[in-house]
Amino acid sequence: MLVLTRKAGEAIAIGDQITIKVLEVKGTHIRIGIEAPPDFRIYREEIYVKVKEQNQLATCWDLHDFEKVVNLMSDEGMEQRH
Amino acid sequence: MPDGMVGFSERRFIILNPENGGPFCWFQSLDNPDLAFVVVEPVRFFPEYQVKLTREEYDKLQLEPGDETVLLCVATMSPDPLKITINLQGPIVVNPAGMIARQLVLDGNHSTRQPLFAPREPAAAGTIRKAQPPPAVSGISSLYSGKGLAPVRS
Repeated sequence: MLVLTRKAGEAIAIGDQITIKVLEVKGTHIRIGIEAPPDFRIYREEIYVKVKEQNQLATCWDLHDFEKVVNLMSDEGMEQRH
Repeated sequence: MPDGMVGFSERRFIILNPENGGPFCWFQSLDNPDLAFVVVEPVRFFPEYQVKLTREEYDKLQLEPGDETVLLCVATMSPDPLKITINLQGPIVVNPAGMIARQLVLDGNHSTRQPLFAPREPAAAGTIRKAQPPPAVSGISSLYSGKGLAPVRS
């Protein structure tokens, strides 16, 4: 990992399209401004972790439950729309 | 699936449409028989849910704006239908012609546990209907300005 020290107001450039600027340092919080082309997905790392965790939860399903739910849905007229 | 599902190393999957499966399909790993996801087309439940792809995502899926795509969301199943949720934050985009898929992590604020069904009113035990569309499924418009990904019904 590349480690750089920056002060508030200073920035880091990644390539020629992305700039990450330290806007404010306040106690344990750092406000960061990111300039990047609109065609980039930028998100807090927690979102990636949430998707990963939900994927792991989603693999734990049971064929019996699946059939039960589908039967209940057809009993309730919840057949898929066409 | 060149990058696999987020958090999983398996790369090759097949979409199975089980008989009497209702809106659910199986996203089955070809290399690990124990790995299968239940997936749904979110448009069946949340017509306004749309995903715009970035240029990079179009490239990785070998798609051009306007090409046919299939949008799927991973369901987290439960014996209680009211507790079945789908993950709107991490949809799977499929290029059906090229047989390439990617699971995206969207940057907007979407639920990873959006209930698929809402209780019928007045709430009666065991009855289900379609859930109301979630409030935060629009506004990813800051991304690539090409044509939005229009989910295609199978």
